[in-house]
Order: sequence, then C-alpha cells, then structure tokens
Amino acid sequence: MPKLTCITTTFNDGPALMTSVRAVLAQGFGDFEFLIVDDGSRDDTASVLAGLDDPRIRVIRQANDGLSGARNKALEQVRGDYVCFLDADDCRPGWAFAAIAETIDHDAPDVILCRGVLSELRGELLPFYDAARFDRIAELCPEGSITPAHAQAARIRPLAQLIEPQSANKVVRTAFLRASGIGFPNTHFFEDIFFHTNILATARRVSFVHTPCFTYFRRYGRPQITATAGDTRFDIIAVTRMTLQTFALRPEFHDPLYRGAVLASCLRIVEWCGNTITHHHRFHFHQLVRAMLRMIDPLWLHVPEPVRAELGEAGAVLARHVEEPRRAG
Amino acid sequence: MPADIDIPPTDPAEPGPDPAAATDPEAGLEVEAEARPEPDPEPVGIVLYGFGQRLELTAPGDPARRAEAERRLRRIHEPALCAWTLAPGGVALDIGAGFGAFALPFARAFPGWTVWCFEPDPDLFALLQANIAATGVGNVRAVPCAVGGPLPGGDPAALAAALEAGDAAALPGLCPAGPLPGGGTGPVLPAEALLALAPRLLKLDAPGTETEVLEGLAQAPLDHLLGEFATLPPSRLVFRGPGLRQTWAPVAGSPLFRLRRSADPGERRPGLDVVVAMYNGRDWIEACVDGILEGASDEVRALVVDDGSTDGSAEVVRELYGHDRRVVLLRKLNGGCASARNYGRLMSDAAHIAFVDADDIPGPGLFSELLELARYTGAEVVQGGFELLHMEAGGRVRRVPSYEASEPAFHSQPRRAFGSGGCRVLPASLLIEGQPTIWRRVYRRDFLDNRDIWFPEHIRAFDDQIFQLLTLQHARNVPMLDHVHYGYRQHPAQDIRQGDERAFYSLEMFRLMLKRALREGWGDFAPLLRSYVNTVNWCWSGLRRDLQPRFAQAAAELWVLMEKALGAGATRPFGDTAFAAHGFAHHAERLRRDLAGLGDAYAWASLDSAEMHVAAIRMSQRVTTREGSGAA
Repeated sequence: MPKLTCITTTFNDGPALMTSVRAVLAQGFGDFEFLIVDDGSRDDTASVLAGLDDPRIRVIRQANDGLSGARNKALEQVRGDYVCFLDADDCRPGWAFAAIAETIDHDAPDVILCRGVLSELRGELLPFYDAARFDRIAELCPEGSITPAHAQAARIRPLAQLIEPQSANKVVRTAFLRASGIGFPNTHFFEDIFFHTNILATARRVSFVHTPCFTYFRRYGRPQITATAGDTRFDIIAVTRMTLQTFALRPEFHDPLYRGAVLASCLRIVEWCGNTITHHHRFHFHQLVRAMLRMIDPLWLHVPEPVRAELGEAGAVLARHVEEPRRAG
Repeated sequence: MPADIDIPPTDPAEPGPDPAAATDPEAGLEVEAEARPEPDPEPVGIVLYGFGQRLELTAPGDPARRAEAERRLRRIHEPALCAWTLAPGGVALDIGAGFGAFALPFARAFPGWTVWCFEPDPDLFALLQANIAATGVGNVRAVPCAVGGPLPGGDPAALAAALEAGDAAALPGLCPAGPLPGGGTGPVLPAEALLALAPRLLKLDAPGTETEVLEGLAQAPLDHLLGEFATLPPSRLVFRGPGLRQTWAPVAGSPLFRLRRSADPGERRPGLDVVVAMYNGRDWIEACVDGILEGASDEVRALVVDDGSTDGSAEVVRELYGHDRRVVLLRKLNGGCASARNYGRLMSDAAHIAFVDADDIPGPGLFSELLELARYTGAEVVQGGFELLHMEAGGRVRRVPSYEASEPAFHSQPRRAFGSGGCRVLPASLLIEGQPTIWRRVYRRDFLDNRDIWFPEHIRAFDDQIFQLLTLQHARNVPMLDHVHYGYRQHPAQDIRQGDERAFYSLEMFRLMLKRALREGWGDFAPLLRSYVNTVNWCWSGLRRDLQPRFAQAAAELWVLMEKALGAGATRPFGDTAFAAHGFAHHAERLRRDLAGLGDAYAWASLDSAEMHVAAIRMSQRVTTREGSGAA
C-alpha cells in the first residue's frame, strides 16, 4: 500500500488538468498513488487522461455527479495510508509530498494542515490567506503537533478551524477517515467547510506543516465554478446548516470559543456569497440565511463577548449576522 | 519541530496580516550563537528552513543581512518554487548567492539539478563554501566571481570549456577583471559565457546587474526566473527567448513593480496589439500609425481595421506600411466603430490590447511604455495621459492639456519613477465617471474576455462609455504614466454633438448596464447612477428641441425603473432635481403614482420602451409623418 493517495477530480478542465498532473508526477517523494476522477467531462479531458502513462495513476470515470460526489467516489478507492486532494488547475511544489511524509513518520497524526501560496489575479505570488493564523499557531505550538491534551489545545483548535477550509491544505489518515465516516456533502458546492470542520473536530492528533505545500491560482483565464454569481451560491447555506448540525452533536459544541470559530468560519463564506450573488437571488438568499439561523440549535447564537474578542477580526462576522436576526426576531 | 515564520505581505494594495512581524530582523531565524553588536560581527550558526528542507548553516553575524536572506526566501523564492513545477533536472544559476540561503535548500530539495553559485564578496563566499562542505551537498558549484556584461579580456573559449567541464575553481583566473557591485574590482564572468551551461533556472539577486545578465542570457533556455531586482530591465528579456520564462521578480522597495510571468498553458502571444478603427481616414491614418510605432519595439503592432472605407484609406495603409511587419491591415464590411474595434480584437492573438481612433495621434513611446507598465504591475488596465489636439490654419496643431492636468485628485497619489517619467496608481472610481478615454489605455485581453466586456455593436454612440464603465467597474485601480500622452484630435463637428436621435442610445445602453449590474451582483451602483445623471444632462443640453420632450419622458421612465430595480435607497442621494431636463420630475412622479403598490425587484430592469430604442424612434417619426401627410 502506498503511503499517500492524492485525489484530483476533473470536470471539463482539458489541458489545464496538466497543471496538477505535472505537479504530482514531479514529486521528489514517490510512494503515492494518484486517483483522478473524470466527473463526466464533455470536452477533451478524456483525451488528456488517455495520454497519461504512469503506473501510479488510476482514473475513475463517472457520469457527472458534482465535485463532492466525485471526491466521495474516489475516497472509496483510496489505498494509501493517507489521503490528500488537489484541484485540477492548482499545483504543489516538488517538496510537498516529502514534507508531508516526514510529518507522517514523525507524528502519525490524523490530520495535517499545510501552509500554501496564493497566485493572485495580477500574477503576484503571496503567502496564502491564512498565513497569519499559521504564524499564531506556530507561536502557540512550536513542536508543530497537538492532541486535545496539549496545554494550548483550547486555543489552537479554534485557530485551526479558522484556517482556510480549502481541500489542498489538508492530509487525512485514511483509516481515521473511514472510521469517522466523514465525507463531502453530495450535490453541494462549498463542500470544503463541512469536511474541514468535521475532520478537525474528530481528529485526535493534528500536525502543522509550515513549509508551503500547495499553490491556489486565481486566473482570469479560468473562472472558478464558485465564482459565478448564480444560484450555486445557495449551496453555502445548506452546507453551513449541515456543518452546524453535525458539530452540535459533539462535546466541543459546548466550548464557546471553538463553537464561535466554527460559526465564524461558516458565516464568513455565507457573507461573501451574499455580497456577491446575483441580485436576482439576493433577497431570497438573505431570507434563507435567516431561516437557517432560526433552525439551528439556539446555543449557536450565544456568543459571549470575550469569545468575540478572542476571535478578533473573525469575530466581527458573528456580530453582523448573529445579532441582527435576534434583534429582528 | 520548530516552525519557520512567514513574513506577511507589505503591499498596501493587498490585504495582508499584521505587518509588525516584518520589522523583526530576527524573524524566522534560530540564532544558536549570540550576535555581538560590533560593526563586523562574527558569523553565527542558524537553522534555516526552505523548500521543505532543514539546514544548519553558518550565516553573517549582521542580523540585518540574515533577515534579508530570510525575507527573500520567504517572500520571493519559496512562493515562486511553490507555484512552479520544475523539470526533474537541469542547471540552475544562483547569481548573488550570498551564504547559500537559496542554493543549499534548493540543491537538497531538487537533487536532480546542479546549482552554479556566483558570489564576489569574499566573506560571503567563504561562508558559502563552508556551508557547502558542512551540508555535504554534491550538486552545488561555487564561483567567487560577479556576473555581468561583456568586458575586454578574458578567454571565452577557455571559459566555456571550464564551465562545460564543471571546473569552478578554474573560472576566476579566466574571467576578465571589472568593477564589482560592492565596490572595487575583481573577476567578472560575462553572462553570455553561461550559455555553455544551458541553464533552465535563474535566481538573480545581484542589484544593478539585471539588464546585463538577462541580455547575456537572452538565448538561454530559461524556464524559470526569480529574484529581487534593484532595476527594471526591459520586460522583453522575460517575455522573449527560449524556455517558459516563468518569472517572479519583485523590484526592491516597490510593492507596485514586480515583473511576473505565469506562462499558463492558455497564455496568449506576448505583446500588444493596438487596434485602429478606421473609416474614411486617409488624411489621418499616417499620423496615427506613426504615433503608435514611434519609439516602440516590435512587440507593439498596429492592427488597422478598415471599416469599409470608401476613400481609399486601405490603399494608403498598404502603400505606407506594406513592408512593415508591425502593421496589419484588416478589411471588413462597414459596421461602425464598435464593430471595427471588436473585429480587431477577434483577430488579435496578443496578451495585451488597446483601441485607438484613426484620426488621433498617440504620442511617442505611449504604447511601449504602457506595455512595460502592464507587465510590471500585472494590472488589468493601465493608462497614459491625454491632450486635446486643435487643428489650426496652416496645418498647425495646438495642444491643450486635458482637465486631469489641473485636477488635484490626479496628482495626490504617491508618484514612483518609471521608464522615462513617473507612475501613479489611481483608484478606478476616480476615472469611472470622467470623460470616456478608453483609447489611452492598455488592457489585459484575458481580463476583457473573462469579464465579457465588448463594445456594443449596434449602439452607434456612447460605445466608449459602456466600455469605460465596465472595465473600470471590474478593475480595482489603474496605474497611470504621467509622461506619455495620447493626442485626441478635436473636430469642429464632433460626432455625438449633433443633437439627433442618437442621444436615445444612451438610454438603451444604461438599461442594458442596469440589467448586467444586477445579474453580476455588483456591490456598488453609485458610479452607474452618477454616470446616468451626467449623461442624461449632457444629452439634454445639446438635443434638438423637437426631441427634448420625448427624451425627458423616456429618461424619467428609466430612472423610475432603476429605482424599482435597485430600491429607492440607491437613487435617493440624487433626487429628481439632479436632472436638468424640463418635465423630468413631473414624468417621474406620474410614473411612480402609476406603479404605486408594486414591489421592487430586479425584474424591473427588463421592462423596455420603444422610447429607448433609436430605431423605433426613427420609425415612429416616419409613421407620424405619413399619418400627418395623409390627414392633410
């Protein structure tokens, strides 16, 4: 069994798929398998896949089922001890798998979170959005790995929750994932926050890799599916609800700081979607957000002031969205 | 495992975390020995993390130098190599290698590569050699030379032989002597000699040598180029030549200028196509095309689109520029200025594009300097200044500066030297409602395509305005050069000042923009609404009297539709009194009464009127006339 499985799903990516394929095949660490799910592409993606000749690649072809369904399908097939994800048009540096493997050998964690790089629309190469949170975690946790017993766990776990939900930044132990039953919410986009929240809350040991291990590209040449202003954005409300519902069953739900971090990380995406969705849907989007906030456990809306202060800038989103409906209601 | 520390971005334009961490000179370095505060402290042992490697190195005792190396590693070298996929092997050049903070972790992370390090400073070179020995990496060669341009002396054949043989030790004796970057003289390896190594990657941190090194390596098969530049070498050295030339080279001390090239699979041909829309312009076209070409490299082409001219313009162009590869003549059936510009764009394969009018005169250097600026900033839109050209008797031209010259808002931003003049970054909001000046700008083609911004083909007036509104709505800011100008020729009878039905195109255009803004989820409608107020007032003031009542009524109707589509909150800051048209408030009030009780919704933007269509207005005038004559 390989040490690592990398999952890439592709839908009509064509030659852009080679961005991830080249990056994975150029890894200095070779003990991995590469699972590519062709999620019902209708363009030349199939011929790009047919041109790949590497024994570590396995291709799964399926009728279009959406990103979450494609990732879940791949998860069933994973043979590696650990699994990670890479979007078709993103990449990893040559040292990524080696750095990940070293951390696996050292800590045997359930989950690894990595720093990354952001390639901006104007071509700037910058530390990823969550660099400051990683800096804070590095201060609190110089040894780079925590369990719930860690002296600073109560502060580090909420910080880890506030790291970008992004799938390329995490590596998960396969046996842990299977035992936990965690997957992606079928039929929905904005799927990452559900997966992110659940694996971090379930994991016993979480390690942090401070060397950047992926690059996320924003490009004018390739619009992101979640960047369209259309009704795909309603998915974030559904995924937020499912994330909050499942988290509320956990003992961590009664930790106000962790709870606040989960709600803030969800509402941050909800807010962005609400501010950029087409005006055709905007009224109904806000109606649905308010409905969702009324349908979740009322304890979610109890965010003590010290928690908001500790969450800092992330806490501001709570003030905007949690307090409003309460006053209105 | 100890953690390395990222130094957050310092670009004020980028949202970045706490900049305070960047001021800590010790950030990210584990100092094992105490640095003494003497002027020339002893070297210290450090643990360096880079490219996923952990190395124990000896570094300069001066904490500022260590912080500098750490900053470059974290902000330039590591992000670049994280975003690029390297071949399994090749030759990398590290010019300005210092104590090896790039070369050593690179050599560890990419064992298939060979790194040639060049470091003329004797102290740093000693540290570099010690670090190579201590880490035991076998794929690093160190040479105590600077790298620069060609110099008299030296033995090129012997140099090439030593490089090919991998004989680093022989090189200093074979190099000509020249001035060193740090002062004094010493061996300077001509960059061109390094072609013998067929380098695929260049890491260049040798302030001031950028142009000579890149010129020397113009024919090297470079796939990757990174480093911190102290000067701004001509961008063609990065956008031309063999290899991918993926580039990440911020200019020291300037968050604005960073030479970058992504080399994405879909990358268009590097260069700028200037589309010239020409209709019966035989008297003007030569001055226009000459203006585009003057002082420009062959990266700038003029695409002259002959929009069905009947005066022999195309023949003039063919005669004047038939042998100039920088000029392309495209001919099409007449369809109007917007159609000619769109056609030129459809026929262009360049990464950057501009749209000029055949009767204008772009000033010398305008477009080549704007292409440089576009490449150094990555901006969606960049622009130069403009001036009005008044034609006087005897063919003399009187130049009048544009209103921007005396407008303080255009001069309040910090100015940075660029090219032969200076650059300011203007907020897009400053330009969006100003006079449409789309012709003095250079656009990223991928941006226009991604945002689906075109000139409206059937709207035969105001097409500049729609293009300006959309491009600036979607661009955060616009870097502007203040020393190159576009000459905007003034004619006695300007096209849209005729006061005819074409004024009604503005209403159709604004309704389409409103629909689009709602669909695209714009967050700020104020520029669109302000622009509407200005345009309606401008049209009204020059409109033929017989058209004024219809225009006032139709403009008021669209205003109420905007109100219903956006909610009264959006239009309230303006009020009906902002409109000068007689009867406007009366018409608006009446319509509001008629529509009372019906809710606000985006769908109001879909309600159209014959009074907002020029063709329908012309048609109705004919119908009215025929009925009138029939009744007589």
